[in-house]
Amino acid sequence: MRVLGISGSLRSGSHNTNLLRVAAQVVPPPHELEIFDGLRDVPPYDADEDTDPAPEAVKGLRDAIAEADAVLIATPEYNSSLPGQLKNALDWASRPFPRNALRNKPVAVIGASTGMFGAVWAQAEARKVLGATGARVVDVELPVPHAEAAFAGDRLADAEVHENLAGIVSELIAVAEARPTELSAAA
Amino acid sequence: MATVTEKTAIPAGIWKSDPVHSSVAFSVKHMVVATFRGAFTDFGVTLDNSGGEPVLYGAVRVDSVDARDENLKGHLLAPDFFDAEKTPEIRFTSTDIRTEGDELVVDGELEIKGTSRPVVARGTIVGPVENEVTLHVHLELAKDE
Repeated sequence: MRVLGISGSLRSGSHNTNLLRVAAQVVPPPHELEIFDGLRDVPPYDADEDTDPAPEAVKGLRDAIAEADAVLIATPEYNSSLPGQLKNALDWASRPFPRNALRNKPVAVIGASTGMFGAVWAQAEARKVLGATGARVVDVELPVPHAEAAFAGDRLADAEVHENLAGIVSELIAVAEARPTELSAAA
Repeated sequence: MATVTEKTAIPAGIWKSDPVHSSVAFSVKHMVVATFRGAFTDFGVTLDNSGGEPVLYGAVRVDSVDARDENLKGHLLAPDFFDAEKTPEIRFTSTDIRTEGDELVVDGELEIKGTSRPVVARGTIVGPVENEVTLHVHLELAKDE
């Protein structure tokens, strides 16, 4: 199974991108996790630009999702919600509805923040948006609070949180493996 | 629908739905005044009264829902609603069929999205007339069921 990691933060030293790097470490072989690096290039959604063929950066996003067996999103929290650029990317990915790249795609959401709640509201909002797109949202969350002190090398400093992350990654892969083969191939 | 000529008890035999004369339709009231109507076009229903207790059972293909709106259909088939990929059928199997006065009462289990709930369907059964039986039942579901 190929898992696509999407970090909702564009910052070079992003805690959420780091969280996806840890997730890549705990993916059980032979499965793999690749982190999407094109979020910054996705333009603001504009129905006038929602054409066929799609803008190059949008095609890159849609193709990356379509080719993955599952998606793991790590989101920071801006004003109690998910970042605008991540929401914008999900809006692009949801088009054309209903046969979009996210449809029936297993997706889990995790998140880190420097606050004490670990982006838990942003994760809930992202799950709500993903449900509306037709994604197969895994009902889990991973709040990683105090993100500036949450990492210890390529692990999470808190062993229990680290194990929870490993469990979420395994559950996401299990959901992807449970999909009907012919539908997975067509998605 | 056949012309009503007489009402009988459950006729003996195995009766299968005729796709030309049968339908599975639903309506949903929302916003107090508006009613949305739709139907499933791919289904099969069997009334088996060939021995022992009569049993009514059937299934509809979720992806045959006719919602007259592609976006709404997409929403209905998604994991958040019927989850057609994981549970492609809605199923019904009766547990008891009886008449109460002129009314046919069918107790049964309705399985939607992998979850079964006991339901009671009410209606009429007429025939056989020219080797056809007309069965008409409806049931109501609460939104939180």
